[in-house]
Amino acid sequence: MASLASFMKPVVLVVEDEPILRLHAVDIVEDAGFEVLEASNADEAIEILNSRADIRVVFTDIDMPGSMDGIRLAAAIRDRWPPIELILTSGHVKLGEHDIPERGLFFSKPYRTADIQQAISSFLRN
Amino acid sequence: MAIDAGPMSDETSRLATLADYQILDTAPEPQFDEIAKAASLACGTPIALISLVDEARQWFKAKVGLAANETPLSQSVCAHAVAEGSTLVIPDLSVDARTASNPLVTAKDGIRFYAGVPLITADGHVLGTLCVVDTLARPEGLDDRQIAMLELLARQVVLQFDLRRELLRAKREEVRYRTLFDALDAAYSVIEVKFDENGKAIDYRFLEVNAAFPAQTGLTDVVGRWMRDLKPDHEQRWFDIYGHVAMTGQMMRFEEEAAALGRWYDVQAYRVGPPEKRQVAVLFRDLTERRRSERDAKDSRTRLDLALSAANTIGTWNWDIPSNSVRSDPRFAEIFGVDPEQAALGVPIEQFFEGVASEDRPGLERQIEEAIASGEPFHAEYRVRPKDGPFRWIEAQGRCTYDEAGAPQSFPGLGIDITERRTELSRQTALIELGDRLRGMDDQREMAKVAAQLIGETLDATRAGQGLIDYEKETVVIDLDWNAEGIGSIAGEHQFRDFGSYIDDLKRGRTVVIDDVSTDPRTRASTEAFHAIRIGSLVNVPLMERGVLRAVVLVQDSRPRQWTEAELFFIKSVGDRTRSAIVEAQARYEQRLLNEEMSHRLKNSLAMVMSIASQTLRGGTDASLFKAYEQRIMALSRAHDILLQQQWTAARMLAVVNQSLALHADDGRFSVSGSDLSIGPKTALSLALLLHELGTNAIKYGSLSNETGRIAVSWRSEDESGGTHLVLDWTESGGPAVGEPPRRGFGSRLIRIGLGTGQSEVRYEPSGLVATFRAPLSLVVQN
Repeated sequence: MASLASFMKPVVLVVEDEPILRLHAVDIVEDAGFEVLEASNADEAIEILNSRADIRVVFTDIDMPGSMDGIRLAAAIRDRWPPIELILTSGHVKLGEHDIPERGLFFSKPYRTADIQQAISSFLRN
Repeated sequence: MAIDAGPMSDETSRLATLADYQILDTAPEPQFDEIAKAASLACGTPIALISLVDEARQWFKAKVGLAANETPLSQSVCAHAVAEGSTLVIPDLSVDARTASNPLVTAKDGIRFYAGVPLITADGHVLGTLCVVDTLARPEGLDDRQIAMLELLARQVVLQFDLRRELLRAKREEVRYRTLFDALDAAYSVIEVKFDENGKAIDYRFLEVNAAFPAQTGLTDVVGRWMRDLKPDHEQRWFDIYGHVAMTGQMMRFEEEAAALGRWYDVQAYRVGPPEKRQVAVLFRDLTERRRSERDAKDSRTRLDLALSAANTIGTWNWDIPSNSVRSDPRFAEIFGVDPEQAALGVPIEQFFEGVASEDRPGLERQIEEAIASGEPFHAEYRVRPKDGPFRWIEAQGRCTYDEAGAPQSFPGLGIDITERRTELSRQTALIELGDRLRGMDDQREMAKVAAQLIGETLDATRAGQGLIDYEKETVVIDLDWNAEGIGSIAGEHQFRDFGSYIDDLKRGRTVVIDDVSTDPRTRASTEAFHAIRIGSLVNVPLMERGVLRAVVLVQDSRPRQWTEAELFFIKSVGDRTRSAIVEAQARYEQRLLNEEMSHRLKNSLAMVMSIASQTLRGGTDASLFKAYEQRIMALSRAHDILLQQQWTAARMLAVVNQSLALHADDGRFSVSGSDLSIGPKTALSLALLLHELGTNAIKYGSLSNETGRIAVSWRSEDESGGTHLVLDWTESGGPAVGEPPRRGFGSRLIRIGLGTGQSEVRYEPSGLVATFRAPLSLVVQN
């Protein structure tokens, strides 16, 4: 798998319940040259994560309906798929320190295209 | 002639006994004269005598047929009978050796016959004789009948002597007794009490009074008269008391007023004589003067007390330093928990220190040492805690005195109770502190905790807190409470009816003040329940919401305690202030939630706008257009963040400037100067967009377009004709030469708008772009 993965574009999973915002996020990631998967809530995201082993970064909204919000999704990912990098975003100004998982990055909405692209690139470089 | 009368001591004793009868040289008395007569008749002699043998003479108490009252002892025949101690009969004196030479015998018509019977007392002394004498000799003497008669009469003489002596003695006692009672300044009387048919004493009559009686009562000539006649208004209780004494024989001592006499008396009454006589001896003294002077003394003492308490003086002390003995007034001692009786005699100063609050003790001891060392006046304020009750604040003043050698001698002083002053001060301080601490607090629980602690500590109570009330269930839930050391928490749910009926008052909105749970009618039946959780007294202040009881402020003391008006006022003040602070905090909290939600939605909307713009411009002309657009939205978003921190009421100028510049350059590329001020939300948004445009241009064309240029942002207020203005300068330096842009885009227009309400001026200096913006300060602050 590892050798196969090195051929392929790195995969980023975008989780966002609002379709228009998800569209923009997908554009940002694609424009940076990565492969994008989409989920509209945490449950879908978990399903996708269960079915794919090649996801390197999850870029998720925090404020989402459903059984899990972005914070709990991030925690679950950090727990079950420790290597996956995490980028969180929210309309709220700031979060408590403990809300952001280890190695996670947070961007307040609206975010700048360049900031998100730089964040993903820096993860994949390391 | 000498009488062999045995040892001198016997004769002395005999003479003393004789003297004791007090009969020598007294007037004739018929009973003795008649005995002498009887002796004369019985024996048929012309002469009969009751002769008493004195030291040097014989004296006749009674005599028949003789003129002389006495004869020298040398002429006495009786002396022989006395010496014999038994009946002596001499038929012919002229032939008897003992009497032949007696002048009474040898004289012309001298005496010839003598028969005498000694007068012998019960204790064996011979006082003299009963004798019969004749001038003719009687060889036959007396017959047995005559002797028996004479001896019987002699015994009668002694009996009469004894009786006489008893009477004399009694009379002497009587005189002594009269003298004594008449010499008393106290009045003495013997009364006879009269009772009605029901046994009720209704009057008394004076049988006897002493000399002092008139002066002590103002009544004269009372003997034989009835009290009701003398003083019809004399109180019934006097009759009752004397009646009781007469009936029971019980001695009574009492002080009582006799209003009819206008006097007070100290009275002793006891029954005299046989009970059926109903006689009472009354010894009494007029107390009116003493009473008056006592009352005067009491009045002046009261006045002194009043004067002392007016100044809140507790009392004085004097410490004798060499013997370490402090003597003090009772009140002063009591406050320190020192036994007043011991304090009157003197106790070591350490005993007083024990009453001082432990936290104040070291300071007090130091101050005393300093006063002794320096000789300066001593002045200290400290707390003492009496055995039961809350602490008192004492202000003590004194000064040490020294002997000639300079050694400390004594340390007298005065204590003043300044509790009210100090506690009032501490209550005021506490209210201010409460305001300070509650301001800016958001957590209701924390606020209630602060208030409870403040009330508890300030009032020196043992428990304080707030409770939420369920009106229907009549329960209170105490979330948290403040407790004094050693007192447990009562946090939790409680049923009011387990603690008496005072919930009824709370429901009516009345403050409940119970000084002692064991005596207050609302709680005394539940005393056990209160004591089980260490409540001796309590205050509950109801907090009403739209007329319905919602919560209570509760303050308790483990001991009974009198809550003062000032304390209640304090509790209510704290309760009110805490309540309103909580309401304010709640409103603030709700406002913040609302603002955060608004901000959240606004920023989501901005994100949507950005997303739509991205889709719209995607694949189109210039990618840089979207980027510029995105930057402007970001600047606006940052400004919103800053505004949110102040709940959209205002923003800090410095924060807006710093955050806006941070989007464009590192800290090292710009400098910011100006005093921070609060600006209105509209100005904040304008400023954020303005600085964003200026920054963007500087990156594209100006001082941020190379590696070395810098930007200085500064602002100040200037007084101009139109009022005070805010003046903001943007000064670029170190960048490439700049000129006016060929095309006026949106950015240029934003710059021209400036701060939204004033003028803007942009100059292209050789050193770089310089822009100045002005706006009326009042609008900057308001908008």
